[in-house]
Amino acid sequence: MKKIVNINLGGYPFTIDIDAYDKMEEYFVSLEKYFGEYDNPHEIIFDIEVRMAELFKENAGEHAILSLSDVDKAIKILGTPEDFSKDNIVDDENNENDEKSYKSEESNRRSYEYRVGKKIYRDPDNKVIGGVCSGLANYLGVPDPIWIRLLFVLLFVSGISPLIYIILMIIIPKAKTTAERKEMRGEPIDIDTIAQSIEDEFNNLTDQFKGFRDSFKTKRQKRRKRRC
Amino acid sequence: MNVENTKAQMRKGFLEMITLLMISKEESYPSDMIKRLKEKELIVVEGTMYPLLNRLKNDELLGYNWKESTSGPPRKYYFITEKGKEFLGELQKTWHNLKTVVETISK
Repeated sequence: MKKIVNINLGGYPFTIDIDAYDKMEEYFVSLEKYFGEYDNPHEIIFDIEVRMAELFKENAGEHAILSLSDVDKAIKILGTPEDFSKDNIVDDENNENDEKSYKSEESNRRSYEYRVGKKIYRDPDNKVIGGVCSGLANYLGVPDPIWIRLLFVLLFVSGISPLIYIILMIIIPKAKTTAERKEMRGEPIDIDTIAQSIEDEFNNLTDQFKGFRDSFKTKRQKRRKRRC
Repeated sequence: MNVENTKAQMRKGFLEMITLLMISKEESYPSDMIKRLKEKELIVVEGTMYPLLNRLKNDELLGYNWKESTSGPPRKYYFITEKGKEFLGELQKTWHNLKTVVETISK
């Protein structure tokens, strides 16, 4: 017996075993790290997602539940970041000398993988205007963004132009992916922490739904009482 | 010296030209291009094509249109730009040059 997940992969719906899903997520996180310094990493990754969906369609047929072996097969065809650097095709600029550059790229990539350092991002989950203050609070380790917000308000009152906020909003990127949110908080990026945050998100939603349902119930009860 | 590495290097420069060449013949869908390139053993893993296409697009050598598909979401079809045609012309010149050199020397 296994849990299954419904996903949208590149615009196609799929039902997939939970272990296969974990493997796939791990793969896309590794791609995100690898392509992170390219011009349009999300576009490249989305193209690969679409291609993976096509491979699933070709191999598994319409109604099958995707298993770990389907995902492994697709990853083998698409290639992992290790394959890309071996192939040397992906790395554009610095490969005048094959052996040497291959090695240095390898070690660069490795240091990137294990770097847990914080990066500054705007925090879209905790924002009033653009998430600049909460992003700064995350970066500086201030426990509550309200202090940074207060500081900004004081700055504006004391005559400093609010333009500074707008400039910060433009130059600081928004944390869009789970990996970026982790980086923003300085948490290590691996599959378990990402799974944890997805779970948190889900629990959050269920709580919200419960709250909504309860308030609906009490409203109905009140109405009934009035009628009596 | 690793022969696989040298082969990869040769394929790399060549792949750029062949990609532009294929797209210059007709607007192309990456998955179809991948199929042809794999048959000819020019690419090993499919994932290498997407960053290449993305780079050529960012350099304005290629552009793409979204086209409706009967079997799923709309697809990206790549076309070659004027700048891309010029670029391809230069690459082809070099290619012919290399080809004649190899042919005359191996005779």
